[in-house]
Amino acid sequence: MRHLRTARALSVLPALALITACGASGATGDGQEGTYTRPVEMVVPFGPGGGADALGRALAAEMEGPLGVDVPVVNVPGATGGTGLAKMLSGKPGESIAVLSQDTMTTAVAGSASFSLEDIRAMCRLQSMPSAVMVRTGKFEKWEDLVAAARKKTLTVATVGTQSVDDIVLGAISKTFGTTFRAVPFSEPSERYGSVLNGDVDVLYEQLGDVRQYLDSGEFTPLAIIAEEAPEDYADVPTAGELGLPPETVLPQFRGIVTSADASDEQVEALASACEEAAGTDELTAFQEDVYADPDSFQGTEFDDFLAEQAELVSTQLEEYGITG
Amino acid sequence: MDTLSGALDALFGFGPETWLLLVAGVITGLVVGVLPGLTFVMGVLLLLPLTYGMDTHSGVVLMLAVYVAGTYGGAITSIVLRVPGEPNNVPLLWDGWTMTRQGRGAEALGWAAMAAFVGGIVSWLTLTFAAEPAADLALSLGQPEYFWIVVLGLTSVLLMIESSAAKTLVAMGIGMLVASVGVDDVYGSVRFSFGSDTLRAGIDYLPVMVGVYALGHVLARFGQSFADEGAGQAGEVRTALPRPAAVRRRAGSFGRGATIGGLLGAVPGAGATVASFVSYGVERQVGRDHEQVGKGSPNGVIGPQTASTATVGGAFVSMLVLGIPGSAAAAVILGALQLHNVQPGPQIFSTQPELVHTIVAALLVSVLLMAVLGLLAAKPMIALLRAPEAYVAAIIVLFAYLGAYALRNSMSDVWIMAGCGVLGFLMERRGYPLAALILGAILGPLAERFLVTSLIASDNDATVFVSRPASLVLCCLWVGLLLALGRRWLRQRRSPDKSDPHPVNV
Repeated sequence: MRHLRTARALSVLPALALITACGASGATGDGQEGTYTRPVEMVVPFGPGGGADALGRALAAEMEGPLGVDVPVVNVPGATGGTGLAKMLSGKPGESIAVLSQDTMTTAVAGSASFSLEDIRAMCRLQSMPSAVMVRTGKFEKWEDLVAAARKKTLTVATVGTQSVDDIVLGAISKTFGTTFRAVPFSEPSERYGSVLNGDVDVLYEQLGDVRQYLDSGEFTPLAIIAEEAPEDYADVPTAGELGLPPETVLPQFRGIVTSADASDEQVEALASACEEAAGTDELTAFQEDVYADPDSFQGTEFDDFLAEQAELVSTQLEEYGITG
Repeated sequence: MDTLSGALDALFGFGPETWLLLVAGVITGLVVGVLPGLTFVMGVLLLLPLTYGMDTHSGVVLMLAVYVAGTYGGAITSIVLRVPGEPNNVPLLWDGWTMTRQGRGAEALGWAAMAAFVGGIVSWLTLTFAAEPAADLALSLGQPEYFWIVVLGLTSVLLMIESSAAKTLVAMGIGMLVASVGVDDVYGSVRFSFGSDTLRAGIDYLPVMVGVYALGHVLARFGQSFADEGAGQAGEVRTALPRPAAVRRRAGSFGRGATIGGLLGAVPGAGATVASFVSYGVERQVGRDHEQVGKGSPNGVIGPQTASTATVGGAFVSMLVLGIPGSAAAAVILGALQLHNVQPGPQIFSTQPELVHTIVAALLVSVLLMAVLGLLAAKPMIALLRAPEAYVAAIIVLFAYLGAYALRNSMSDVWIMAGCGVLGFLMERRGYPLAALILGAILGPLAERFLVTSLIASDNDATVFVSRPASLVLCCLWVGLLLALGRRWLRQRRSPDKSDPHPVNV
């Protein structure tokens, strides 16, 4: 029994050592800006391998320098990004940040999300992207073929999640062309693309740059570009305007970075300036070009105003197409 | 064949660090395999935080090596000292330990080493030659088929776990309930958050596993004051490898063990322990000297050990190709991959071919190292058992807290881990199978997501679960499983034979 008691007493030692180690590292890790001494977590609210993931990782790597601390990335997919936003909000305010896409914002406007726009504070907007209605190559040749098929029977469309921008675009197409679609939500990008590749789902609605690898390999073909202007590579594909879709349907599909509304001004300032600095690096610029993104970035209140304006725009369309929480 | 050549390229490209990691991993696996307080699932789990700083390949190589060697280490102590280091080594007591008592310990150790080696090679062959065709097949599967695969995994647990069906179901239900906390995957509704931000963020299965397997188990052992399970003094430790003619004579046992292990490894949730028990049951019923099994027959060592190690290949195939873990250890490795930004799935051969090749090459090296080190180090491994369990327990507790925090750098995971530790302790005390709890937590959310997405895609037409050819096949398999369950239940009711010394359910 005696050696057991000793053992129990000894077992406290490693714990003490650990606590000491934590304290020591906390004391010596000095951020250059002074605001941060501990890592800032970057939550990507979608699965690995998608566009939000690529942006979150590229940005996190570039923000580490200006912030002077690590920016580890975690993927928390589910509920059109809502699960990830909930995860970010459960962290220490200002020490957890998340990629906010227009799709995730839309769920909050629709009222079905686990968070509201008041809970979050905008830091910086990074990109807006052209999206497209795509099919597996060979499924339909032209936009007209797809419309004709979708008039005869309901086509299934792989989307990013329920109550997303995707639903608005599909609603607008259906209203304009008299088609019927059924949106099938996939929070894991690999499943979303896989279901289109194996023919389980008929159509894909996605940001062009996010599926660049499938476009380049010729597996996917875009039939309509939902943007004011088509990227050079796809100049011959009709745009929403050319097809006669209402102009407000062309939403910017922006992605930006947000944090908790409870974060201090000092934190938000440090984060926003780190984000701005990161967005200007050559790495990020090359990345933005690669995914056909408009790299127009802006920070702080400007992004807040932009969010409010987009919320309004989305709200009226959700109502118009009968998309409710 | 691409996999083979790619794997060979990867093998020759292994730098000194990779070799070091493999040796370290295999030694760690053998050590955790030997120590009864530390299962190899725990070993893989507790190593998880160490892999964060590594690149994806190194992290997976390390965990894989621990996993493979962990299925074997405990065999040695089971046979020599009657101390099963792992649950999957329990069947080795019945014939292995009996052989030692009959003075044939060296022979038993030789058979176990041979069986682990064969099982390991079968694992490697499975991964090398079956994974790519399986991926091609999996590419054509849709959400309804994925749903069935997960349901098959959940149902097979009922068949394979030895506790009562009611307790298994309750444990599985608790696991599912725990995993359902947070934001629902498809529609985003918040469940069971009770107004807490921590709960709203959801409960990941990794902290649950750390809590239940590591902390809960230490609590249970602490409660028993780490009472000695009656390990005897080791006599002479010698390994006598079987002669080729003897191996040929018992080829049937190797073959049956390898088949059972390979197939069960691929079933979500059924790992080495289940395969080992099932294989022992089969050895008692078929084979040339099946009547000797239980009385000191090498077949009772060969079958379970081959099956245990052969599960690794199957488990990796379903983890890599479907993204659905085939065993608890594979679930941890899946978690590690996801933390490293890799989402396994049917496309993994086109998106991450190097990773697959590294895994295949590392598996081969791990198997060879396991065989060599296992043979050389049988003696020191047995000496390890003299380390007081309390010390080991202290290290486990330390790593459990460290690991839970490091998972997502979040204190809430630490609270969840601690809570699940207490939950696991209470459930273990009352005889609820912890494996079922973990499976519920891992597979439950997957089942829900596949079910809901299938129904959305089919406009709420439930016939999609039987109207597609692949889903119909899987459905028939499931019905078969239910019939087997029903048959067993009836048989148990008719003859409540409690005198069977080694209850095995097949």
